Amino acid sequence: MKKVGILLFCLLGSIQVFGVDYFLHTDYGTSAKTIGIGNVEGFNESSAVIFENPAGLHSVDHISFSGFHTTYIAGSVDFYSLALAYKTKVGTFGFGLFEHSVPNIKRTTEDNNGEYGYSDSFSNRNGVYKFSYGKQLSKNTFGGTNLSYYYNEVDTTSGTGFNIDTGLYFDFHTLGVSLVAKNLIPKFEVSYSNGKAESLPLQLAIGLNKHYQDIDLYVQAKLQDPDDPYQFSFGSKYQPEYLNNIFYVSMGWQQFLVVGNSYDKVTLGVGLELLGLTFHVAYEDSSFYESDQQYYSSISVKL
Amino acid sequence: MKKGVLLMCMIVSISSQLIGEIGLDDISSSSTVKSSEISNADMELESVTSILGANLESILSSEGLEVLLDGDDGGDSDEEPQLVGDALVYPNPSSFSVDNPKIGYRLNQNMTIEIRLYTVQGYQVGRKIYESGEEEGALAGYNKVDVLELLNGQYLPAGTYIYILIFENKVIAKEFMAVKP
Repeated sequence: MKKVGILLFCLLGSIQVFGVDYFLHTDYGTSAKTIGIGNVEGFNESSAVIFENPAGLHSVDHISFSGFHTTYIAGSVDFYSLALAYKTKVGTFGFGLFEHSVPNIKRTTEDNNGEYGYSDSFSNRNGVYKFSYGKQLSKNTFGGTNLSYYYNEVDTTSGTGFNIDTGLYFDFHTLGVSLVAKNLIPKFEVSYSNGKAESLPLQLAIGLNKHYQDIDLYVQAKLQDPDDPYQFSFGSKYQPEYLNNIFYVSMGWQQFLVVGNSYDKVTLGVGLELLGLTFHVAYEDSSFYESDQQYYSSISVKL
Repeated sequence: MKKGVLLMCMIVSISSQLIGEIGLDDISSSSTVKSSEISNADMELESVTSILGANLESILSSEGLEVLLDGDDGGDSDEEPQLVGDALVYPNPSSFSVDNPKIGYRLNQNMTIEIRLYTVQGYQVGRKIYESGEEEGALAGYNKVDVLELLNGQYLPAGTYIYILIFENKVIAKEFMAVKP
């Protein structure tokens, strides 16, 4: 643990601040289950954990598939993710895709009077592929790595970039510890066809999960920019054993940053597991002017 | 004397035709008509005005009507305050480091307008209130406001954002804005 602490301290010192950071849409949740516990990352037992901490792949027994969907802006923008993980004798391999697209954006023109009109439309497609590998390192320690491929297409301007995530997971029976560093290599940026680039921000997060009887408690501290404060998250989950663990309810609170602005939100979640198929739904108040509610849904399958 | 009667008849005939064309019969209860809303009739209005000269205004006045020219305040209008047409950002897509994107829209009269800018997840990243009649953005006619004003000069990462115009707690326009690096 001491070595890990030193490693994290060194990584923190290496954070560099560039002009404009790439917008990491995965920060706002890639699974309804995780959103329901305040987006405390690394404790999802399905393949969706690829987006959170690749070391969490240790919980995949054989094959795991998961899907996630939500719409924002009163149904105008669809976000979805798919993830697949397969356990082998040499470790667990995984693949994940998280994407959203915005069609029918008006391309505008200016007339001789200086007034604006529009001629046609274009689209924006943004996403990330994650290729993952996780392995047990010792009795209680698991490690994992992602190769992330980012893409962002705005009309005819397209950008792509690679980076690496790495994580550790410590399993102390009723206590789980998740450590993850995302976008480890500072000089790997998203480079665009117009010659510009955006840096992929390094993120560090440490999370704890304490299990006691039917209750799980979660806490997380996350850091992106050394000039910004830590972002904390808390979560809880109640999964009664007398119902054979087929049902849970959860609640969370999350601090997060949006283009340098600090937000926080309360989330609620519920899940139902039947025959290896688990349905998750999460809810939060919408911060968009025209919407009151924001729902997320996920499904995960264990084979 | 007969020439005078003939001239009056011509004036009444032309003015009646004009009133019919611009639909004033339908809104005779309204005491104000803006010339910007009758752009199709502008050319005819100008030619008729040249014929009738000052008599037109006196005739319209006698009908209880008033003609406002573009750029007039319009603050005492009985019309409902509203956005005329779309509220569009130009250029779209735009790059903050190259362009100076502006949101352009036409108001039929002075109105207090609030503009908010959101990410596609619905998180607010920019906001400004334009007070009625006091500044560009809240004036009768065509307004252009800098997007960077909403953001306090901060550039946004590449992607799609959404802006809304709010008047009296109602969203009167909603559009996407795409940002290139």
